[in-house]
Amino acid sequence: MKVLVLGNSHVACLRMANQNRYQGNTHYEFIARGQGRGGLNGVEIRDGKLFHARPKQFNGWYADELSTFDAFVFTGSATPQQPNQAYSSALLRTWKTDLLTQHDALRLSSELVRQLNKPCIILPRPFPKAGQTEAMSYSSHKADTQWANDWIGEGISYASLPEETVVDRKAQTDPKYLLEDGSHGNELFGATCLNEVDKILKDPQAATRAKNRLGR
Amino acid sequence: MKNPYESLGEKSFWKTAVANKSMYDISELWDPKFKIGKEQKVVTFGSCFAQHIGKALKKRDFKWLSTETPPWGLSEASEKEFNYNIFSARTGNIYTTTLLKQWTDWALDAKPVPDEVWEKDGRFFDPFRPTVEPNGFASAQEAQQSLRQTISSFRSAIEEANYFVFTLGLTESWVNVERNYEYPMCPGTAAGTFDETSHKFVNLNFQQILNALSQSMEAMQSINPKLKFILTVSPVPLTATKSAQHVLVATMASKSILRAVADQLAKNRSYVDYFPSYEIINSPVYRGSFFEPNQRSVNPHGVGLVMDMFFKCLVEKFGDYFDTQNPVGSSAKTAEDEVCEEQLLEAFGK
Repeated sequence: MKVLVLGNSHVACLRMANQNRYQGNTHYEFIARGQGRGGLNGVEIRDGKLFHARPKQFNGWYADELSTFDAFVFTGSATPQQPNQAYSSALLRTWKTDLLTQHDALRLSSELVRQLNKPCIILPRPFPKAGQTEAMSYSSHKADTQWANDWIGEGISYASLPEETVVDRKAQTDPKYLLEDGSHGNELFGATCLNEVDKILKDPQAATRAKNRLGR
Repeated sequence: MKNPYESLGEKSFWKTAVANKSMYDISELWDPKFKIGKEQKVVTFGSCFAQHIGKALKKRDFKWLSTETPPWGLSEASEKEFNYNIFSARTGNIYTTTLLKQWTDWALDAKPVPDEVWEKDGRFFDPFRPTVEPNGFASAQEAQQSLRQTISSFRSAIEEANYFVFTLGLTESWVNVERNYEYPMCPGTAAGTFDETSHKFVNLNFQQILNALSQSMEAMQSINPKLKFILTVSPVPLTATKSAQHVLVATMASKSILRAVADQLAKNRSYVDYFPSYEIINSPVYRGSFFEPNQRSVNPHGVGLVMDMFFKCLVEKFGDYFDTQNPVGSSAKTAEDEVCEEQLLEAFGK
């Protein structure tokens, strides 16, 4: 299994984990550009290959055919949350279109599924350390993930944050999985996430989502 | 013995405060009652000019509160198209103080929420926010559900805010005399059908406007006793008048009455202040230079000057208690970006 991981600075922990800790059999490759420089903004899929006007800005740019990969993983973005307010049906349609055309991970996932019919997984970034964000529960994060998978569809799978990385079932990442900045995962977090991706890819439901999408 | 004028400062005399100055150097136009802290929540409602206050507060990193928010990831263009974050809830323009009273009564369950919905070509429109959705709602039920959401969000805004900024816009209004409620726009203009039996024009007088605003403020304080109010009068002239007067005369009459109401309340109530955006845009001293060529819309330069004056006057009164030049967000973001770059360099071994 060959998987390409794309994203911003949150790719770093996955790559470090792949080098130093990961025990699985999947062959991972990584592409990243810091969010301050635009992250995946401007990246396109053209004729089955990645395109960007300034590919040298990226760490690990991949210029060959993407069809050699079995799946794609995006990381560094948040999971859309279930609406807690009443929205009109027109707004919900517009929202989905906006996400699929303007939110980089979803835009590229959608395009990869359309062009290559390969599974795409979106891994959320870790919850920041306590006090850096409003409190929510891990169960609401899981419910949001389930909701996003049902609502977005399109052959794209949102992954939940692995439960073992979370403190007391709150939306706080256990500090042992975080770097000192309190918002980026460390190597241990990266290894846990790579194992999570492996699990999802072995799940026949996730693997067939892309195919189902084209059949709808 | 000195006469009472001799001890007054420069700002009390036309010559020193206005005539001898460039219009851009005129200062101390507002003597703010409240030191608005950056951590204090401000909500903005009213006529269209109120939206500029919300934007300016956000730009300077003050806590402008929106209680009816778009979903995460909705684009800026869609947010605008669906009228999110224009006011603190999706009320649309609340042009009159009687409309404000109506929203407050609904939010506090003092009056039932009407079930009227307008239908046109299979789409459904909320009579109290006829332009809030670009093409109306899919069903009457959806329109009513959306109105209930906004009423709930409006109540949250009242409950959570420290300051309620309200821009008074019009004296002219349209009411349904059979059902005893007010519309923000005449039925049959943006949507709906005009019915001369039930739809009647009312040009509110000073006392009606004063009573509605006083009662609204008192009702809001009944659920949030700490709430303070900042009133402004919209400098934007009427688009059209149903009074028999010329639109220019009707505009001056309306704005004069609204200004007098704001003055009365700000003078007599410790929890009410008045910010003179109306004067800054409309005073002959500024020679009409803040209007677009249609002589009605306020240009960005005028909006900018008004809002600069708002923050400048706070500093003049309370000292330099906030940084007007460097919003906190920009420097924090730069530091975070630098951290991100370091991690990537380490991971990719460069």
